[in-house]
Amino acid sequence: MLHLLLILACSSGGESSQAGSDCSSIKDIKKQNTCYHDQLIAMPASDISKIIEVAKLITDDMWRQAAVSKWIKEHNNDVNQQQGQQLCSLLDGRDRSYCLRQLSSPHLRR
Amino acid sequence: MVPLYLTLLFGACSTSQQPSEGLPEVEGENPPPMGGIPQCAEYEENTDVYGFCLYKFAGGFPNVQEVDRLCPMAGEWEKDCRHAWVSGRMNKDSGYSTDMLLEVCQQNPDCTFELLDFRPDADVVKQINYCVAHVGPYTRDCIGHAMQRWWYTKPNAEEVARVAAVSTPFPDRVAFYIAASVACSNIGSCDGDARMTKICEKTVQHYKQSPNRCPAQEERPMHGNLKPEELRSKTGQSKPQKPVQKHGPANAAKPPTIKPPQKTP
Repeated sequence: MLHLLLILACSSGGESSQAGSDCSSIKDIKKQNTCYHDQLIAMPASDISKIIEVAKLITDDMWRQAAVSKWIKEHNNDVNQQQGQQLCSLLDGRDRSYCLRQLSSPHLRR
Repeated sequence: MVPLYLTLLFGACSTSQQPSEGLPEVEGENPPPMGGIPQCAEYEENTDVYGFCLYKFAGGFPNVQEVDRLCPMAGEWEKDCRHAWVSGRMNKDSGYSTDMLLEVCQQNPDCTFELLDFRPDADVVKQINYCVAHVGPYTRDCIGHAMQRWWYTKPNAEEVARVAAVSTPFPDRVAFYIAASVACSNIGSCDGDARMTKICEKTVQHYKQSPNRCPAQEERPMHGNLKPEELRSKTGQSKPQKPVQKHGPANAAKPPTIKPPQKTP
């Protein structure tokens, strides 16, 4: 029992960045961004709106774009164009257009 | 004082499209000799985001040596890092030769195909050889694009014979336009590479039977500034509408009353 309490105490005090944890409770912005980033890239393609929601919670542009770009790279086969476009709109410049191309060009599909 | 190198890198980040577009080269400047770039230092603890950051700034790397030094630090984003640097130098007046940029692409077909398609060699045979050597899974498309551009140049019989002799892994792509020249423009013959000749002769028959299938020899202007949503099909998404009859007698949108013929057992 004591072991269990210790583990729980350590994991909550350490502001874990594991996917699935409650990132909103993390006070340190950098660690919070890391947490949301890790959470996003581990998410399945089944709920795009949730992915977009998490992406918008990432306050640092680099972390957000890295997460979204990586997710699209991994899942471009699993989302339809309309959903994917909403996600791609979170990127800018070359990344946005490349993201859209990944969704629509058969030769860029994995 | 901020070195020019850092200013350029910052500028590259703040541009909205291609980060390196319009940036002057800074050969001779002294980039940081070791380590990454300061703009990405805060992301060092996460390999993935750090790699992504390097890729985002790649357009501003001042020379190939810096690309070769910094892009490998980008880990799984190395390909994108190299591609981004090449993308900003695809214009023929960038001062970089096609061969050099192909080397920077390191056989990433997305990079090599984009480059070769953007700045094709004026000699279609050389372009085909580039396609075969560098674009891997996109070779067929690359040769097809090369031949289409060649067709727009309205080649004469001598040129048709020269290109017809070329052996490629996708003779159909060549044959399609050689046959068009033979059947639709009455220029040249199918004589050439054996595999190509066979396909060409069949295609000539096809064009002769259906001259309306001859490919246009004028390049159509590209429609720029299209938003992705404008490229989406608009059919099948709206509410059902009454059909509009443009020709023939009015039928008041009623379906035809002709019954299908009864089948006899």
